[in-house]
Amino acid sequence: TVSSASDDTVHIRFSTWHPPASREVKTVWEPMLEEMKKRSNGRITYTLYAGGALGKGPEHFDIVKNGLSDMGYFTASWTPGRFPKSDVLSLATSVDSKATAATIGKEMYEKELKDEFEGVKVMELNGCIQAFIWTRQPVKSLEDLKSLKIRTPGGHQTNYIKALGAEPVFMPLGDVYLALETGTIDGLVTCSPLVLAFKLHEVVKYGVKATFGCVTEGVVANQKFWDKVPDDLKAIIEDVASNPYEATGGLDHKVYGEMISEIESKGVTLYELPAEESARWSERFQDETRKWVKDLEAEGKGAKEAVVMYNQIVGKEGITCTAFPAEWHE
Amino acid sequence: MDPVTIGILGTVGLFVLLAIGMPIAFALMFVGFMGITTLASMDAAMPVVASTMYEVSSFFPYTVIPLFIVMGAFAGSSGLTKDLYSAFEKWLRKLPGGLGIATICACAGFSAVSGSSVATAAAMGTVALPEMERYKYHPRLATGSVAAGGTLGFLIPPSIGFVVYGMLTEQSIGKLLVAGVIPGLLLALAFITIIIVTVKMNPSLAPRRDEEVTWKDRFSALLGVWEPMLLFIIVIGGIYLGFFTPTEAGAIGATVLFGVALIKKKLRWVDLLEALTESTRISVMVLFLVAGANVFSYFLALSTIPMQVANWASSLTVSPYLIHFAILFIYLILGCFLDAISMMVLTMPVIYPVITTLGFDPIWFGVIAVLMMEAGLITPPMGLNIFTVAGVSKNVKVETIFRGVMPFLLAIIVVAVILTFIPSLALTLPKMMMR
Amino acid sequence: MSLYLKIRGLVQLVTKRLAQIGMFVVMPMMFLTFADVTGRALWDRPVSGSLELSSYMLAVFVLLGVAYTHQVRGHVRVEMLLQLLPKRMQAFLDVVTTALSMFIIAILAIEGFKAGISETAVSDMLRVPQWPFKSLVAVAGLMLFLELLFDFFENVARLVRRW
Ligand code: NA
Ligand code: NA
Repeated sequence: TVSSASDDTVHIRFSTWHPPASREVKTVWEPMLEEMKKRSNGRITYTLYAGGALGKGPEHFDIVKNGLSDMGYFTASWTPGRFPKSDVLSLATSVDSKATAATIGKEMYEKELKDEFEGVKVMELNGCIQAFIWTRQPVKSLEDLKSLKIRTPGGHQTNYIKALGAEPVFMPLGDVYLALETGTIDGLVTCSPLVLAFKLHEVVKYGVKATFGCVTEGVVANQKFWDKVPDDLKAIIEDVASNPYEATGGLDHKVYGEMISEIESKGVTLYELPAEESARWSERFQDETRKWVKDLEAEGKGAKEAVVMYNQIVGKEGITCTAFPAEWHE
Repeated sequence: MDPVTIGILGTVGLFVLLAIGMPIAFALMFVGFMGITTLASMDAAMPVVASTMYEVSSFFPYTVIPLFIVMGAFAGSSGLTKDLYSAFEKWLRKLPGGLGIATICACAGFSAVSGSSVATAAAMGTVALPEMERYKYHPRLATGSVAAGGTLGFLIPPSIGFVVYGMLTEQSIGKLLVAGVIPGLLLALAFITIIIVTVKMNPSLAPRRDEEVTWKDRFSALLGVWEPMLLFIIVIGGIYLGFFTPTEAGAIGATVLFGVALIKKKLRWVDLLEALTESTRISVMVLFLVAGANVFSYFLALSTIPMQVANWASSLTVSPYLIHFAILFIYLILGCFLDAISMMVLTMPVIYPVITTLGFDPIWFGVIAVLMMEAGLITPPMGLNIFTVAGVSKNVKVETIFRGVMPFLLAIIVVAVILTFIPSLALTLPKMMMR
Repeated sequence: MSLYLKIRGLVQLVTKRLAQIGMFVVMPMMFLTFADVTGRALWDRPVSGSLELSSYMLAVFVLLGVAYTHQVRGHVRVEMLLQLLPKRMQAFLDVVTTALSMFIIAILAIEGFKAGISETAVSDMLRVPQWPFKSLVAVAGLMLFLELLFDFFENVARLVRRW
């Protein structure tokens, strides 16, 4: 077969739903795979399947788990209910580099989330960062959001959108452009690289720079594939893929700043919430955290420890979790 | 064995199975499954068919298919389409293949609200085919014009084809959509020309009635179709004013017509049952095929054939126009086996840099690429529009429709060539846009 | 023989009834979207989760109709070359293609069942479990398999008669 790892070489079929021309593919996935190839002196080779060539977005975890690809990027929040506790990584938090997000995700995975990913080798987990709300009409306060239809990436963001008074609609990113153009939805929540990748700056003209948190995602490898990889190559793959953003320098703090400028230069007006309004939003986010923890605990899943631990871990990076309930600070 | 060889063997296998009469959807799933088993593993292949089947049958945008079919059926049982086609017939009696022309125009109109070719073919087929049959049009002409007319859904905005191209190439989707307007109308015109020419050459395809129609009759016929016109205005107007989307329009139209039919007491229980049964049969057939096509395209992706072919084209060192035509040819061939979107996703990352290096305009090439996606919808053996029309028309054979669309395929190629030499046809409107 | 006919009649009736249940789902699908759109346009009050409910309804509609569509020979195929062949050869090829179809549809049914019982995902807004809908893949596969099985028997009988 094409992908079997023989004694001394490995061919990796890597799958992602990111469009082939996106920043994720160009500045992270391709360089990541190239880096593995380089460090292994060509013993690692790869085929990259971008743009969902092996299946639709939500299928990506199963694509890897079942072995249609050997390794790939998946979005946990797109299959609501399947990775309930991992949603903790998508709480509203203002992280500004993917490398940091992956560091946080790694620690949470080791300590708290392992049991949700049986049957695959988890390389890295991260919360998608810097997701904002983008709209066709200007939004400056909760009142402006009332009954707007907003595309949600799933997970906490669905509840946040609802809590802010808007109507969440769950749909794959690929359908968002036409939906916005024709007015089925009035806006969406997503991060800036995806606004650019899906050309959404052509159809949304306003953005609110309020930390929204976003989906939980990560890189996983097929277990059978992983078991066959020779040990020395395992070390290389793990070293590079356990924090691909750090290894490639893609999607770091600086890049996010550049992307925001690029979006602005393409005619999108960004609005920064004043402190008072921002506090109103955070309060509603915190309410959702309380509800979420209560719901999970009712199912016998200890969610409060996970949230507290998450808050500690992001605190170590000097970051605050906006959605962390005020009274839970000791 | 290397993946490319396996991919070729699989494709040949698919041909054989189709030739010996295996239902197309089952054959696609079977070959896709065998291919994935060989190229990845049995574990990987086992769940693919079931998961793809669920993914396709729960994909919200596909609700348009049953809804538009039901809408068409309600329009049929309340007599609206009959009135509409009678009016068309009175006005177009003197034109060779007049109702075929009317169908192309209706398809173009429908394409202006629907982003999907298959939905256009399914909806228009439900409306137009029984009417053309009533006027004794040859099934080849009738089904051919619906299948080809349906492809206009891709070129005339809104179009999912342009959205995908824009994403893959970092081009403005807004500009692309606008760029599709003139070529779309040009293609509609080319289709009409094809109908006139084929009917002139073979008048038995579309029998003509020679009795004179008075102008009074013509206008009173026009008055008789105010209801479908009103519905058309509600549906199209609602979409343009942003009240609802093309996807939702089917539900609006169907509900309105259901109400109309109930009020006029024209909807009998048997009609309702018939409408729903039709909608099940056609939608299931189409979506089962889509699922099969997806499974097969995962297999072809694993075989790396599309990428390799694109690589080959990009390494050619001949004149830019020869490379351009080589790319068109590749798309024509790949379109025979792959669905439009997979074809773009798999090849564009390689093809697109070649196009820009050669100095071609990316918006212009987008229009050409979407034209080639359209061609793929009506080329054998995997022509989704053909199968859709075959499903709608029940007693017309797939091969009859393939024969029927051949002249229209020629029209698509001619339009692609015209666009190659007169790029301004595609580029004038987007250049006028300020953004 | 009459027992066989009885069983076949029963299975085909089940197939048909399932499809009829499924097809009526189009009506709520229509009305729900209509309510959502008018609610949004007139009162600024869309129907929560109408999109995900529509997706589920589409799944019911399609999956319950899969076997019936085969029963009425709705799954298109190319017959041109087949008709050029001698009758005996046709019967033989029908046996082959039906067997291959049964093979792939059996996989669809089994994997649909496995995917259905192990599914823990819910819909995003209304938290409606996905497993009942995913399990319909198994129902679709099973009924389609049975329809194909009867085809297979009849094709074999036709082949034996021609031999
Ligand atoms: Na269109
Ligand atoms: Na084709």
